[in-house]
Amino acid sequence: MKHSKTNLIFLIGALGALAGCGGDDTAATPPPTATVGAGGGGAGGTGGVVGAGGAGGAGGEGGSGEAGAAGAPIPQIFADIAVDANRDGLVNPDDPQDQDAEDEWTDKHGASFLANIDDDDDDGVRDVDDDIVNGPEDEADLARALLKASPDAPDGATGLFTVDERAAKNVRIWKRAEDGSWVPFAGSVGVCKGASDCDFIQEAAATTEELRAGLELAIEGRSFRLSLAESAWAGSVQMTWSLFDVEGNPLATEGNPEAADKATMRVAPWVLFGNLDAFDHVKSDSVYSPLVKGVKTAAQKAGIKPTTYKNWNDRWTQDFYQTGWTTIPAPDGAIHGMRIGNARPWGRENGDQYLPYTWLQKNYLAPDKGILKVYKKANTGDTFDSHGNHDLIPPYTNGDEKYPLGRILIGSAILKETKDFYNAQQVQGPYLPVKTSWLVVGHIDEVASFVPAQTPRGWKMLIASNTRARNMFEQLEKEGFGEQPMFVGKKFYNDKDALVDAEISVSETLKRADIMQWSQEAQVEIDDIRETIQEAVGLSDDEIIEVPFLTEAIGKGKVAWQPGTVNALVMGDHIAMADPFGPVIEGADHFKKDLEERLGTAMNKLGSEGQGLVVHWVDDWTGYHINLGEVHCATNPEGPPPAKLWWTVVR
Amino acid sequence: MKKLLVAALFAAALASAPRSAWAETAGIAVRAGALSEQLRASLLKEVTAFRASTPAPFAALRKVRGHKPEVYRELRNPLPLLAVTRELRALGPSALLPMLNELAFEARPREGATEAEWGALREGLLDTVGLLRDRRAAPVLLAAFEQGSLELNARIAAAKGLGRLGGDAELVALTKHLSTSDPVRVAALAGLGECKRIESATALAGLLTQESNEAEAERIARAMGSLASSWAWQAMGPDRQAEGLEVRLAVARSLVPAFARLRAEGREQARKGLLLAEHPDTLALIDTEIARSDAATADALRVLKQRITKTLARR
Repeated sequence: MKHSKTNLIFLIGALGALAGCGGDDTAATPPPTATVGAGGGGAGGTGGVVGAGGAGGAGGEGGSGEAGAAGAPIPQIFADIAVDANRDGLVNPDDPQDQDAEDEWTDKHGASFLANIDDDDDDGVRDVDDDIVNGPEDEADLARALLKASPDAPDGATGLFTVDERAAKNVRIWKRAEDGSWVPFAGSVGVCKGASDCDFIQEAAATTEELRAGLELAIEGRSFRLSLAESAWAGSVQMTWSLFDVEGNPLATEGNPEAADKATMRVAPWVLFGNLDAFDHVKSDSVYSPLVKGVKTAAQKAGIKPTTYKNWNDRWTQDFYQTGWTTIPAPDGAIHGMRIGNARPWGRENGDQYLPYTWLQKNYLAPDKGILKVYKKANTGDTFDSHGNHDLIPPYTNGDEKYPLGRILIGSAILKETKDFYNAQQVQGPYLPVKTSWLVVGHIDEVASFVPAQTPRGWKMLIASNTRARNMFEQLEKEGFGEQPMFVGKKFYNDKDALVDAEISVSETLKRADIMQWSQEAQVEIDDIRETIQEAVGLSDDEIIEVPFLTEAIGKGKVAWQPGTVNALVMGDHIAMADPFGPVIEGADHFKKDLEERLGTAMNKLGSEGQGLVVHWVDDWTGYHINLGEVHCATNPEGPPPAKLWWTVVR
Repeated sequence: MKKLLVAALFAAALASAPRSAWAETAGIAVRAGALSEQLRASLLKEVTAFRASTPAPFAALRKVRGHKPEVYRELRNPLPLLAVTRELRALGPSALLPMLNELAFEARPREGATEAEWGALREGLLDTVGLLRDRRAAPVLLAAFEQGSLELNARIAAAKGLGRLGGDAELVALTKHLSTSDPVRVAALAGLGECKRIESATALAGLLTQESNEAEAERIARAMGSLASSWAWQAMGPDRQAEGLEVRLAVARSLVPAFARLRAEGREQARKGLLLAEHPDTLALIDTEIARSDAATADALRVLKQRITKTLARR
């Protein structure tokens, strides 16, 4: 991991200072002014706690030894938990910013930890699912907390570290042993396979030696926060550190309140990638070579690595998993985190071996690449739970509403636990729902997409437009091109079973009353989606670019009849779209020409410098279009966790 | 009127069709005996002759396998109906008689197809036959629509096919199933939505005026929207534009007050229907409705007016 060594060295150094330079440390703490008398010797129990808890709660009278001598000064004993509350990637007990308000969590301060669900030792098991720390790379994924040394702890004193029950079930907390290894301390213990099948420890004891030396703790989440419901884990860990005398009586008293401390940490959220993110990699199935070739060309031009895979006939790479990221602060203003693949709940064949999560385990899980499932039961949900139906509106501000990490945009009928999960991250939500149940596939990526633009907002929306397609056909007919064919050389079923030519002329298309009716019905629905997004974001009409194609109906739903060009792969200033195979007018595909003019020139100020996007045409007809999807459905891009400070935008 | 009478007799003949020597052969959608012997014999004769002269479409139809899991599981939404329907539509008009043969006389071996897969093949065949708008399909579509043992989706596909044929017989067959207690009312409404005639608009408007149930109103309004689709009417050519305007106006006159009267899904579907009708008088009709509405309804009507204005501006 990128920043692990620096962080680790610092932490070790800091701990060494705590353990080995107790005098300095003590000198840095408030003077031990508490005395038995001042502590309430006359008040009975309070003074007695320090003096002699062994007296069975008889208060000061039961005291013995130095501390029990009324009026005699005793050293103040401090219990101190230090966390990276100031988010500088370092745990510094001497930094007031790490100490003040360490038990609170706001957009200004509060420490966080990762859900450690990658596989740094590459053994096929997520690091958090086993009960060891899997080497230095895994160690780097563990956020640190320090139980500061209490060198003046009396003989026989002990410490008790506690975490709340819900947190204990959802995190693992390790302590650094004398030999430098990590051993389980609190939270979940043992090998866990499911969300609630691990034993857990809420209370962990520390010896006198450990108190005096201090303890370095490391924490990892077993999952992200899954829900905002009160009954669910809130994603935080409330840690308490208390000291006790030899008899087991708490040293924390009214007069010596510093013998107990508490701190809060919060699991970092999962954050969804969007079209405007910087990708370094795009995956697609190897099943259809024209698409593979087209995507490869486009990706390489965009500086992105294309790779292919082969699985059990699921070519819809966008759908069966979703790419996101998670990070925590690292030193020098950097971030430390991992990519996350989130699995769809169902596979295309029966059996757990065909579940997307199983595929992710074998093909995605790796060092710095975690995998996740948020569904409650495998093989639940339906087409709406495919991730093409879960997109991200790029960052925007509309009045008081600010979404600096973008806002999750979802279509119809997604599983409740998935929606709960999105909102529980609190950085890209509340999600914006739109209706997509009128589509036979039912995905938002069939009708909308987002591209970079050199505008104050930085992006524009692409929206499917049957109206524009129809207008284009009508105009061609008026200009005398009614007999021009489109879909030339294409078949309406796959090549192996080529049944009829798909070829149809401009005028024949306009005479297809069914196609026209279905397309108009689709347009009404698309206009509703457009209005919803436009109103939520505050988009003006010139921030929306209509992408033309007509629609057909099958059963009770609709799907693109012409290649759905809006379903595009955006990679920086490059966009890969389905070849429309439109009518060729004077040597140029009319639909390509239209999109190249509006997307590929400075006309609409698209691209990072407003110069227009580089438009790449991908033949997806046989492998994807006639199977109800296009280029976006066929691909899945990802990148390194971006240097976006999610902790400043938490709602 | 004479046409309607003939149509009624036609429907009655279907219902009372006697069993015959052909009765034991059955297709995937039409049970043996559902067609009169005369209709059956006539259609079968045509099928046999076509098979003898043009066997390729029959072979092509038998190769259709979109309802099989190895095919439909590759679709983005892996449902058998989606795969098989697209495949059947790809066969083109030459597959009409082979498809009628499979629907009425000679179902292919089921080969382990599940209920959903077999039903998808049936629905896809009915849908595709209906889209071809060939009158030779009328007896088969009618028999399927009226056959109580078929699943509702298949009957809806058959009803839409009847509507697309748009003849008097089909209109009669559809309108006689509009009572609220009729088990196939949903299909009949969908069929009327495809039957591009003023009689359909009149029938549907009559139902909508009386309907207070939002879900039922939604179904009626949905059919009216399909019926009034301005793009569909324009696609049907200049000869039908006057009729189209009449139908679209009738729909608009019905949907504007329905929008004002209804509150939930019925209102929503009335809104969409008006956006599909795109009749030039719609904005004036809304103004009239605003004048007699309470404040909340008037506000909703103004929003509707804005939306229609915006939609028209984008055309």
